[in-house]
Amino acid sequence: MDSVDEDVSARVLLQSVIHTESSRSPITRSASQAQFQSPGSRVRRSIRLRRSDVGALTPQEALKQSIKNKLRESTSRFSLPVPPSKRRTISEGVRKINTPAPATASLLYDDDITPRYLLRGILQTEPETSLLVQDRPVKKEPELPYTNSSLHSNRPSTGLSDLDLPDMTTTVNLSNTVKGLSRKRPRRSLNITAFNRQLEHEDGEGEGGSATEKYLSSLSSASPSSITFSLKTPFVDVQTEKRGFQRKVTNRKKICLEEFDKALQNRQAAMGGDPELSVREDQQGLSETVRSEGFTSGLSDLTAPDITHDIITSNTALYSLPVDTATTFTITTQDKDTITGTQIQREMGGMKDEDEKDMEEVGEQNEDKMELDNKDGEDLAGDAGQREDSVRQKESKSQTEEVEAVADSQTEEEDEVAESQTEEDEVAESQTEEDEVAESQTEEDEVAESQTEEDEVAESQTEEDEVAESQTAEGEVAESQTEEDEVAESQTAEDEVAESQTAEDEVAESQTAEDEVAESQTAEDEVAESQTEEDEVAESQTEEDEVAESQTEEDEVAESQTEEGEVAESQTAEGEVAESQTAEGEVAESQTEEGEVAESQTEEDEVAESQTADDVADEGGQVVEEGQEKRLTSQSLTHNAMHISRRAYCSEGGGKVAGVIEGGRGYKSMGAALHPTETGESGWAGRRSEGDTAGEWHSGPEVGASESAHTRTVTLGSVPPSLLPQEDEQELEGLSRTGTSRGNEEMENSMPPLEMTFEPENNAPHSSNSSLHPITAQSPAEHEEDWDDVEEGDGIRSEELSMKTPAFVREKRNALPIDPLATPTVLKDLQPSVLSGAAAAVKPKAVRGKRTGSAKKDPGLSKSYIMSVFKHFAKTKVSTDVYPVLKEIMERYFDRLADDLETFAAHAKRKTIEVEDVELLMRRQGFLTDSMPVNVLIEKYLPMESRKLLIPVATSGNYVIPKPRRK
Amino acid sequence: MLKKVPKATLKSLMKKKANIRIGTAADAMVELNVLLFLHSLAEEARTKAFEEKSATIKAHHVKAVSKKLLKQARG
Repeated sequence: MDSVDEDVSARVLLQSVIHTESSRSPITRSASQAQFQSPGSRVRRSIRLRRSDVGALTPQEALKQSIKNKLRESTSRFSLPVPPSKRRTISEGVRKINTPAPATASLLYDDDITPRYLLRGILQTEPETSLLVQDRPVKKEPELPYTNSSLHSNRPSTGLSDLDLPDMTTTVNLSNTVKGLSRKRPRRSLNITAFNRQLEHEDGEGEGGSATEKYLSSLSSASPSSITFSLKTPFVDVQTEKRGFQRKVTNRKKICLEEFDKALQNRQAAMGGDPELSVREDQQGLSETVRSEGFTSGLSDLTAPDITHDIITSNTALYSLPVDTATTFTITTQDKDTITGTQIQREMGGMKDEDEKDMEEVGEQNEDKMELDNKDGEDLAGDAGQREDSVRQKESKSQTEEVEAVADSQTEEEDEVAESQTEEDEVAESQTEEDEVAESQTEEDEVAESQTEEDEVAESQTEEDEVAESQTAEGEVAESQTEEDEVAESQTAEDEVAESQTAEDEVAESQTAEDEVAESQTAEDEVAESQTEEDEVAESQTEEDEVAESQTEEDEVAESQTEEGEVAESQTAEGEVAESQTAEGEVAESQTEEGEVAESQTEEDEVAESQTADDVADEGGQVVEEGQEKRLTSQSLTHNAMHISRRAYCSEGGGKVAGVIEGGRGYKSMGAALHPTETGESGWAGRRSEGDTAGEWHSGPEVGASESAHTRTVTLGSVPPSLLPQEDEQELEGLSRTGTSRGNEEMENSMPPLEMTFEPENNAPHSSNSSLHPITAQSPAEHEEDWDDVEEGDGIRSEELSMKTPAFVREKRNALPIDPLATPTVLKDLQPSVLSGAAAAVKPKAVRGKRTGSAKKDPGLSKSYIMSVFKHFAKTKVSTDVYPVLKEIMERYFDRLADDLETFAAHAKRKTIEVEDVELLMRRQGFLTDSMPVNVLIEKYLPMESRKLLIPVATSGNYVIPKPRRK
Repeated sequence: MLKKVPKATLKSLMKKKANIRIGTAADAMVELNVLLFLHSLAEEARTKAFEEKSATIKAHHVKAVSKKLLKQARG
């Protein structure tokens, strides 16, 4: 660096360094090719070796470089005659020196090439050397041995660069070297880009290998790339190379380690698809490399001096190869990592790719600038392709780095996503398989498998998330995405629950119909919830403070409650909801009885309403299908599910993430209590929740809430088992409930506000459960215990709610809800539930009446009539947007018509509007004239029934109908 | 074929608008009046649309004609 700096300005030095670095990297690659056996060790070694070697190589390289620099200085590219001769001599000497030691073949090639190639090489080397001149001379001596190694590396590379060789026209080996040089040349010229290009080359090489095997390909690719790099390396000064290597190596190495780990994990997770992707990526890289090669070859063909430059560069590269090889190894390893990362990113989807592209573009621009400074116009073309490749590599690296940085959080998020995905998959499976509990369990196992696959998807998602995070608030985006995913999952879970319930219930058809209704309702609820959740997420993100978050969440809950309330109203209007209404009423009553703080109650009531609406949908479907007992069981199931969901919601209220975690916990508890398969699911949920917690971390209180939710869920789990012994159907229901609860939990996780709303609802379901228990005539003590558990859960929920609400409000709620819920709720719940049920029933009726009234109130004629008549009279096409205008006109017309008729009737001292009044009006309006009698109009416009009323018709028996007007 | 007039709707509408009782035959006459009004409105809107070289009657055409017709319909 120092030498370079001295020689040239900062930019020039940097560029030269970059070029040298790139050249070095190829050299290292060549060495790595020779060394192939240990890629990882090679990488490290390469770095060290490179550094150490650089010193040794430096003398030879320095000599070559100095010669090149001189040539370049004299006639950067065009002044071939004078510099070439000098360089030829020098280069020949250097070559001779180099050849004797390791690579005789290289010497031969060099000799063959000497005339033309020397000139070209001189020309090429000249520009590069100019910057590095001082250092190069010193380094020349040590470089010679390295050159031999580089020559060896060149030979293998030649095989790859056969295409280029013909262009070179000299010996094949030379041509090979030239090819490597040509590739290297653009890289060299691009210095900065050279690294990227090297990476690209590595990628390209890796791509070739990847076709067969990813890792193998990467290794193999690394080796060829190393060769090319080795060729490049000689051009670069030792110092510059060191600089370049250091920078690149550090970045790449870091990225490589993390990326490799990540990539390995990702690949392991999705072995099947990933390899294909990697292959594709490799192919892409290859294509890129091919492009770059083509550019280089074209350059060489076009201009002899360029070729000579290339040759010279190749020679120099050969010299410097040994040192470079180490670097190349490192680069290759890095490239591999990057490749894996890139592959993963590609797998992830267009999102990351876009981000990468952006990054690449930026990098490319920077590189282009550097290249422009350093390189000539000719090199630029080839460099462009290389730059692109390098940019891509850089982007992938940057992405991988970002991924690594975010890795922890992202991995957590990814795990969550994967879990959610797996959950969804599980849901699908559970839906199909849920018919049989055992099957569902086995399915859950399958889900675990699918989860591994999903993990891959999750990784890709996480990568996307990472990108988003890196761009904006990465964590927030990931959270929102995870939340969205959770919502989707919760929806699916809900659907699954409905399905499972249907499957479990013997009445598959009726249940399915009901389930569909419930699903539709849930879908609506989910939409609202998802919106609310999103809002919440945004709010939570903005407000990092837990308190602020809890407040915002409360607000959100209120909003969601309002939305839910609307949904509930619509549901009640639908009429499905007698049960749900009762449940709501129960919830409200239980809440009131519990004596919770008025605020908390109001909030809970809102929540209860929303929950009840949801519950009603589910319950309604279930109830209709099942008998009354079945209804009761279904209600209990729904209640259980609601409880679970409420718990989850409560936890969510504390922290959305926490809610998710809680949901997972709740799942676990439920699964443990009910079924092993469920436990497995709960385990999954727990994992998910853990991931969520790790990712979210937002607030400790939220976590506490989630913990409390878990405890609640545990109590709930204890409740369902008691139900199971009662009745087989109940057991089935319990299973379905667990499924529902899972779904609810998922829903809760997805939508915190809904969860909040569900909490009161959960209370109601508890009460309904308790009521159901007595109905079933089960032991009251057990029921009471269950209820107590439920109450505890409610208390926890209330705590969670309190968490959501402001601190003081929360405290009150926590203190109050727990006590009331614990003991009194059981008995109270039953009574209130009934009352609430009645109230709910009344409410829907009122709503219906209002609706009908509103419908009656709707003024004006029906749209279909007005439009049909208007279209009939218009006798042309009438656009649909005419109706609103027509409606308004008709309204005004009727107002005036009524006023006029009333006035006419009043003027005639009548209290009834008669035909004469209308006739007079029509005459005043111009419809009736002396030439247009009324009867004609009537006969023309009015149908027969109306005509009969207006025009007297004589019938048999001399009856005239209607009676002719008395005038 | 003209669609049958929703008599119930029309009657309720008139009852709501007018504070006086409405004779049985008056309903038919009101219906006739409505039809005539719609007919004139459609005719005017069509001519307006044709004036603007539009084959389809659009909202702005009806709106442009409505003022004149409502003024004309004034008793």
